[in-house]
Amino acid sequence: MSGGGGEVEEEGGSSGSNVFGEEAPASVTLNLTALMDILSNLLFFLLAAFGTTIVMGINATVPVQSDKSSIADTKQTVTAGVSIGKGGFDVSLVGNAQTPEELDRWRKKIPPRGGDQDYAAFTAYLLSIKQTYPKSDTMILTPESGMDYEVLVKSMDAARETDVTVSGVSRQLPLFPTVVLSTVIK
Amino acid sequence: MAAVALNLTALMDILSNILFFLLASYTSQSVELEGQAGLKLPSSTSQLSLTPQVTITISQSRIDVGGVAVGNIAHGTIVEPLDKEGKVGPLFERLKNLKASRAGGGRADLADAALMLLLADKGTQSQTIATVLKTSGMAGFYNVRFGVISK
Repeated sequence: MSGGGGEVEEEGGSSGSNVFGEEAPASVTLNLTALMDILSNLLFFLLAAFGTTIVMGINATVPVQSDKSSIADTKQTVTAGVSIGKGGFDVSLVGNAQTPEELDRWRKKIPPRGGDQDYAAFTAYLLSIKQTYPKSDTMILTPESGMDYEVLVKSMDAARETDVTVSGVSRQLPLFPTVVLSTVIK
Repeated sequence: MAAVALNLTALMDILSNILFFLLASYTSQSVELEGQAGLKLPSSTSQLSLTPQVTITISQSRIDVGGVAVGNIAHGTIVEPLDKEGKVGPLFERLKNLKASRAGGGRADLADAALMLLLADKGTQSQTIATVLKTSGMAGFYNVRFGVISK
C-alpha cells in the first residue's frame, strides 16, 4: 500500500509560487493504511453479521370471553369465517345486520389447486366480499387438524391485502387484516 | 526502489459510506433472531416490525419461553399430555409467572401487556399452534404476533 508506518510524507515540496508570488503550500499525503485496515475489518464483520434474517410480524388474537359481541352489526360490515382443511378453504359470513339468506349466499368452498391451497382464488373471493361490505376487516380463521403453520401464515397473507387498480392507478387494498385464530372444538 | 504513495481518499469515502449505512440498518433491526436448530420460520409479505416482548418459540423439538424449555415437540405436535382444560401446564405456569412479575414491576397496564411474540417452525401442526395460543390466552397473553421472515 502506501508504505511506512504513520509518517506524513510530503510531496512536491517547493513546486513554485502562485500569481501573487507567494510560496505554494506543500501538498501532504496522509498514510491511511492503518485506517483502511480497521475499516475493512469492521466492514467484514458487519457484513457477516448482517447476513441474518429479517423478522417481521403478523398480528392476531385468540378468542377471549367478553360481554360485548364481536360480530359485525352494520349493513356494510360482516365477519368472515374461514376454515382451512385438506379440502380447501370454506368461507362463510357472519353479521347481525344481514338476513341469514343473504349471508348464506356467500358461503363458498375453494378447493385446492395443484396440490396447494388456492390462495389467489381465496384473495379474489375476499375481495368480492370486501367490495360488497367495505367496512369489514375481521376474519375468524379456523384451521382443521393436520394443517401446517405455514399454511396459516400464507392464508393470513392472502387475506391481508391485495393489489387493485383504480382509474389506472395501482394500490393496495386492505381486505381482512384483523385475524382471530380459532380452533375446532371436538 | 522509490516508495509509491497510493491515494486512498476515494476508497476511504466509499468504505465510510458503506460502514455508515450498514451500521444504520443494523441498529434499525429491532429483534434479532438467534440461530436455533430446528426452527425455520415461514416467509410472509407482512411489513409489520417487531418489538421485544415475551417470546414463545416452537421449534421442531421443543417449546420454550424466553429460552426456558416448557414442553417437547415431536412430528409437529406436543409430546406431553395436556391438562383437563386442554392447555400446556408448564407453559401456562411460566406465562403466569411472567405476567405476575410484570404486574409486580408496575407494567401490567402497558399497551402491549397482553401481547406475545410467537416464533414457530413452519412445519408445526396448526393444532399445536392453537393449543399454545389457547394456553397463552388463558395466562393473559391473548394478543399474538407471529414472527415471520420477510419475503
